[in-house]
Amino acid sequence: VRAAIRIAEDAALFVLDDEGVFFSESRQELHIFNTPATFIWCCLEEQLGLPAIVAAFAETFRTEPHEARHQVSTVLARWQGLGHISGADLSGAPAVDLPTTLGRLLTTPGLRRELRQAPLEAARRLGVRREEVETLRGLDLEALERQAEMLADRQATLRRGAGASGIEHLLARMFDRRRTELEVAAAWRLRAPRAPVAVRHYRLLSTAFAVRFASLADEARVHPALAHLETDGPASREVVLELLAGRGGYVLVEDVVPVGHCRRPAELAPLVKLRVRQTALNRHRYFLDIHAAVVLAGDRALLLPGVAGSGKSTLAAALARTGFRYGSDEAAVLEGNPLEVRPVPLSLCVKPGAVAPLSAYYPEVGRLSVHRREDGQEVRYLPPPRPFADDQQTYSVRWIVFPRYAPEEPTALTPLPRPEALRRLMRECLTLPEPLDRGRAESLVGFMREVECFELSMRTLPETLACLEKVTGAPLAPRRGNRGRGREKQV
Amino acid sequence: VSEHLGFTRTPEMELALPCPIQRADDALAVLVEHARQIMVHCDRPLLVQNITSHLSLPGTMSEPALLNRLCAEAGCRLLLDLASLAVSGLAQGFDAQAWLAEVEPRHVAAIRLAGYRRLGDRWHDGRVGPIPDDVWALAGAVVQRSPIQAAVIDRDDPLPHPSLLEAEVRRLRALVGLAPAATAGARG
Repeated sequence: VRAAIRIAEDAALFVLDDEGVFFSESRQELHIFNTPATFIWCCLEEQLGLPAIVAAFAETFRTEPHEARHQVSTVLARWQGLGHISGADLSGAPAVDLPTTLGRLLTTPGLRRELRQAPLEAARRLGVRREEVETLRGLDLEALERQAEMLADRQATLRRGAGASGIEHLLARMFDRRRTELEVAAAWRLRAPRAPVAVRHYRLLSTAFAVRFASLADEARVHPALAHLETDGPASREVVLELLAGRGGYVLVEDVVPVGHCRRPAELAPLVKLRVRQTALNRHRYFLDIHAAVVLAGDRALLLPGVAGSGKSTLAAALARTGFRYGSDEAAVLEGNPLEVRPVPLSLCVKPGAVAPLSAYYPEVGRLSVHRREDGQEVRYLPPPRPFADDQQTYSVRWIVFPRYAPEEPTALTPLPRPEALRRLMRECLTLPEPLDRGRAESLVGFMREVECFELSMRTLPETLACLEKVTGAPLAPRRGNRGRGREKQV
Repeated sequence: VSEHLGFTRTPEMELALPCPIQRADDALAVLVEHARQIMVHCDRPLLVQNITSHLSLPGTMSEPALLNRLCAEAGCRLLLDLASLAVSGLAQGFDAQAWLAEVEPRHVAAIRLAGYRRLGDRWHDGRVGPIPDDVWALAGAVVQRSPIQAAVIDRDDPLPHPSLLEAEVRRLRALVGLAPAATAGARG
């Protein structure tokens, strides 16, 4: 006999350790369920009815029957309100307030349909407070639908992210108060000599670039940051990036479209480097892009996700000098099935505070040119030691370590439960080019099952490296100075 | 600091968009308390901004009445988003000028002007395109009655040619010149 409670077709739960990773395709949401919630969902999957779930819950978690009923009803009421299940009769569940009800209605088309067809029944299923049932019945349902559409539009815009601006955005970007980048680029191009002074060819991921410089001085400022990506010559299909210079600054043109500008020579390298990264990622098919550094121990990858200032770049730079291969500074691209990481081996971004600690590993770091990013941050670009990871292949991820620079605390590497690690990993997700579907969600959970996860409190680099050596088993090489292997050839 | 008059979070979800609140005494009490907390925490006056909404919740008072009481009881003031007001009026079928007339002039500190449009069967508060005549008319009505301290032109991508934006800024300067100590600016 089928139970009355039905699971929505787009909902799925994947068990990860003792907890569940819940996925709703229509809401495009991933949630970590705790053990009791996971248990209840599993009961639903086994088609148990409410009394059977309550009994099983009371027995498993050693709770009184009335407490078990309260907890199960509360959870089921929430899931029903969010459209994850239907058909549950939950008269014992606690009532919810009007904002909660509205939130559920605005994000769940099925509930709005129910409200239209049978308002009182819908109010009962939603668990609306008795005094607010009339308010609910008085709602203009057409207006509710328009409001829901407005919210869905906004959520879709947020999911797509800022990178999804269309061509009109590029054409409208202002160079100064009076001129667009397009106008400036057109004027400067007319004055520019036909042949660029210098052309360099690079490759990142699946994209080949030709970068054209208007002067040797511009080339000297930009090229060292990309030199390790240089190819022997032009490829058959290249993205052409051209730096146009004139009074008031520079405009960077990609093929025929201006894609950015800067005022000062010190801003050139960050402008070009950022564009190379964005274009390469935009033209590459992948599952998700995580804000993380990547290093390799043999052919196994260690991910270091973290926000700016967490110390991941400094740590990656030091690891790249001590037995690991450098993979990425701040972008870890996950792709394929099973999921693996593809490196994005752009030069390492060294902020002023990292120069001193990295000098022990890279004596040349203090002598590197100082650039200024769009956000005003001064940075140096450190070419990665060779051999670095090959961006034409992917690597299986063995460890995920969330670093945190904490000079007042002892250096410590603490195991992290995988569900919590997944939660933190998704917080660092920069781009999800395609909507999640069940298969992708499942592959993400499968990926997490295969990794060891830690959080890392970092006081000093040597202590941190020693910690990571124990975990990864990677033999740490002695520190190398500028006479060591992998010194970058400056072209 | 400014904040929208709406809720964006429930115990279950983030809504990414301010949604309308119920216009009743108990909701007002919560709003007053929250407004006071923001002003104490930020050590700044608070400007409360009206939202764009297709939906109106039944309540015991009108939206302007709620705003008047909120300002009087919490000590905050209003940032009137005139494009949002125009869109809400069209979507909900109320007269935006009448709505404005119900707001006590002393509470209004600033205004925002922007474009809006209709796509399909829905009005969109997209901040794109030129500022329409009805928004200019609402701005005119405000500056006639309230000594506003700031007026902002709000424009999202795609930005027009600078000459078009400058023309709107000039028109706004001329408009708010009627009010003492008014300033105008453009934000992209």
